Amino acid sequence: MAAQAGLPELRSVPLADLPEWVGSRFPEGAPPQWWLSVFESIEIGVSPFQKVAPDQRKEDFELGATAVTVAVDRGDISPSLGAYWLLRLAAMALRINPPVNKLPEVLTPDGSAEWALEHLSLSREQAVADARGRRAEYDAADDDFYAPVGVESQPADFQPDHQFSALHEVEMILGALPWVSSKVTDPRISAEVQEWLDTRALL
Amino acid sequence: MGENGQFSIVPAGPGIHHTIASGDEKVTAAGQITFNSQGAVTMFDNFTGHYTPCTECAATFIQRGVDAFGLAGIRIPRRVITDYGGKAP
Repeated sequence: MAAQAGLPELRSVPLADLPEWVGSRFPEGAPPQWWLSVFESIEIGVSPFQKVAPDQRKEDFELGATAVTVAVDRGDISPSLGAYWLLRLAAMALRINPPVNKLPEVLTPDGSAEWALEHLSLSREQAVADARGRRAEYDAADDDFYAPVGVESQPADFQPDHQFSALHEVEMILGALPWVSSKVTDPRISAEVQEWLDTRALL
Repeated sequence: MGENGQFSIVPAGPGIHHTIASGDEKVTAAGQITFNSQGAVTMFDNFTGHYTPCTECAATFIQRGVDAFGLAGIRIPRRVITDYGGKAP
C-alpha cells in the first residue's frame, strides 16, 4: 500500500481550477481516502521540518485550504472532517517561525475555529443528550453489540450509524480545537470555543 | 498493523500520520480508533490516506483491526465502525 496523491501534481493545478480538476478526475465523487492522502501530503509539505522556501510553504497552505473546502463543497467529505483538517493545518501553521505571511483566513486560529464552530453537526444540548444515550447503550451492551472477532467480513457489515457518527464528528472537532484555541483573538469566537470545550467534559 | 501482526498506535495530532506508527513499512491494515474517558471505543475505521486499501480490501482492513484489538481484549462496538472504502475504481 503506497501513497496515491502526489503533491507536485496538485501544485501544478491553479487553485481556481481545482474543483474542475477533481471533478474531471473523479466524476462520481472523489473517495475520502484519496482526499486524506492529499491532506496528509500537503501537511507533510508545510511541516516546519521540511526545508522549503517560504513562498512554497505559503502556496502549499493555500492549496491545503482550497483542497479542504473543495472536498467539503463537493460533498466528498463531511464538513466536520473538513473542519478537523483546517484545524490541523492551522495548528501546523502556528509552528512555522517566522510566521507564514498572509495565511488563508480559514487557516488562522480565528478563521479555522470559526469555520469549525459553524460546521458542528449537533448543538451542545443535543451532543450532551446523544452522549448520555450512548453511555446507556454501552452500559446495556450484550455480545451482539460488538463486532465479531475472527470472521470473514463484507462491506455491508460496516454501515455507518448516523446518530453515533454525528456525535463522533463533534468529538473529532472538539479534539482538534485545543490545538488553536489559545491563539484565538476574537472574544466572541474564543468564548464559544471555551463553551464547547467545557461541554467536551460532559460527552 | 504490520505484516507480522504487530500493531502500533500513535495519538492523533498535526503532523502525525500512519507512516510514523509503521516506520514507513508495509502494513496489512490501518485506521483510526477513539476511546472515551471510560476507555470504551467510540470510533473505529479504516481511514488512513497513505495506506488506502484496494476497494475490495477495505472491509478486510477493518476486520483485521477488529481481530487485533479483540485479541488484546478490546471489543469494538458495531455501531462505531465506519468503512471509508478504498481507492477509486
